[in-house]
Amino acid sequence: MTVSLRNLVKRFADGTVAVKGIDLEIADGEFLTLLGPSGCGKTTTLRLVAGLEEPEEGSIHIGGRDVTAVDPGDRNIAMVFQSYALYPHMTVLQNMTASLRVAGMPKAAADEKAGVTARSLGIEHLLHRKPAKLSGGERQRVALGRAMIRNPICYLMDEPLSNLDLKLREHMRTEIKRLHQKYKVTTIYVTHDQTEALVLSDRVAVMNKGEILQVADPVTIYERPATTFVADFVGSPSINFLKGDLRSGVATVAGRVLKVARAGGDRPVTLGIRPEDIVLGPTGSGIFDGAVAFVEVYGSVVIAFIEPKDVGGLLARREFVAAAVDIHEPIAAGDAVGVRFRDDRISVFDAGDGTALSC
Amino acid sequence: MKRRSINSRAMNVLAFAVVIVWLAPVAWVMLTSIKPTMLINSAEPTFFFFTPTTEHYIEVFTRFRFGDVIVNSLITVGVSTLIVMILAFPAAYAVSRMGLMSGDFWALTVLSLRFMPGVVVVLPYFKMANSVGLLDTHLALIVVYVAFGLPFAVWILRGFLLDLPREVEEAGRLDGFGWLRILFFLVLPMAAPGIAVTAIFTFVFSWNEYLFALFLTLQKVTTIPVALQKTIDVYNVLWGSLSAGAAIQLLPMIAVVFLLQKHIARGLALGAVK
Repeated sequence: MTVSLRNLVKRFADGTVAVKGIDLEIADGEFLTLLGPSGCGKTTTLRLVAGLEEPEEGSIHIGGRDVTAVDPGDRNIAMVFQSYALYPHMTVLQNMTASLRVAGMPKAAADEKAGVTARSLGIEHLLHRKPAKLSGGERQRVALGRAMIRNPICYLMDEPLSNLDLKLREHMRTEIKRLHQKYKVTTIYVTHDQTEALVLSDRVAVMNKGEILQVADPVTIYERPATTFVADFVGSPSINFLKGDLRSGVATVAGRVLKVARAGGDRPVTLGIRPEDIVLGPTGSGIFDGAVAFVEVYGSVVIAFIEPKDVGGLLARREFVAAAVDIHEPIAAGDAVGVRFRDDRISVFDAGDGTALSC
Repeated sequence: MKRRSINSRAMNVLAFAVVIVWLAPVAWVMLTSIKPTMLINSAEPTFFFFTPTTEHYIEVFTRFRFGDVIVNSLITVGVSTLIVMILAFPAAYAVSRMGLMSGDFWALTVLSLRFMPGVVVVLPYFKMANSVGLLDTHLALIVVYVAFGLPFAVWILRGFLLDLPREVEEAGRLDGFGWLRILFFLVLPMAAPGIAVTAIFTFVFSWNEYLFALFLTLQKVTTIPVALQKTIDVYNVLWGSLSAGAAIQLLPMIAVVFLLQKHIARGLALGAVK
């Protein structure tokens, strides 16, 4: 079912505007992630869709029906909470069948359905245990099972993996992806973890301060960020920002032409370059020279943090340029290098408001 | 490591000293209640080597009608505690979750009713009870105990409910639960330790209450604290009977605390009184 949010505004009693006029269309069967830092309004947006918060302005439509004033239980949606929110005094079976029993389904039929759902998640052996006796991963599966058993028209997931350790998180991420591929139910997923967002989503909506800054597929979000905030928030290690100038549609940094931006006008700009788009060579071969201050090993790549030499005021935010180097390339702290960029991969932003100028 | 072990030993010694100070009077009362009157009145106190007697217990049940008195206490305190809990639980939920009179200002306003000295209102209560013919009835005491117990119970339960995870109730709303179902099928089981602790406190306060019981009862519905006082007259203090009566008053409390100590400890750790 489609979900559409129209000019949604949420103000809290203390005057905080958590959501500032959000417009969002989510297609039938789409997996959309709301991504952003803590306090950006992503969870509030999800809670508005769930009906757990009431908007001050705007409307919410699910499957074409205006559900803005409809009770959460009557929206036919299911939510997976960050804390799982399992009923602690009930067994897994009772947790899973609670919604069906409330809806009037006979116990035998509800139990049978729970059995089928539990088998699909590999938790049929846990049905008679209570949540306190389950591990974090098992609780997560039960929470998913409780959501799935109702055959909802839309899943809402609020940072469902953030309480799991890294290995389990990766495993459950794959599991969620598999389930979505199989059942193709519209899903709105909230996370502050950009990897999770990029891996899982059909589209990602990046939020900050109650507003959506960009909605696009993961590749576009990564490669063509709409603002410096999006560019900075998505990607690990973070994107490099350099100060540059735009003259007659040509962006330059340290006196070298880097990329033609479509926007006209002469103005100072910020250039965004991902670590993997930096090429290191011998000194004198690049735009500027620098010294490797330290390196961080990430597995397949090593990130070299380079301190530029003789180009003061080049870096817009940090004191080092981060460059991704293949693990097999010899590089160590203290090495002198020449730094060059893959020109066609550079993003150009207005230095004032941070909006993207390149296309 | 060594310092920590010395510290913990010092703490143990201190805790032991505190326990002795607290328990010594209780132990004294218990011993006196089974000591022959001659030994109680002797100038040399005897602690261990005597033949225990049940004479004082027999006396409180025969002369001071403790059979009736205990039943009176159980009825007034039991019923009032039950009513307080039935009213306090939904009230505390409304306060803690539904925005009704929420916030610390209201909570303290309600609680301040509890701070009011009973002596301020005991005479008006007496006049009212007398004028409607409730004097020396269980109902009079029950009404007063409910009036005094309810604000405290709401306040303490509110603390417990605020500590419960809100998401569980929200999950219930999404599962189609109505408010009553959320209240009784989700919140009630989760809040059980808090409810137990609140009920115990409410029960204890009323069980030990003296002033209202003294004014609002005459003969028929006298409760234990008032009956205890009858062992003291102008000429004499019947220490044996007084101690036996006090032991009878204490025993249910000690039994309840022992039986529910796990709940009480958890409840105290969870709630607003931590």
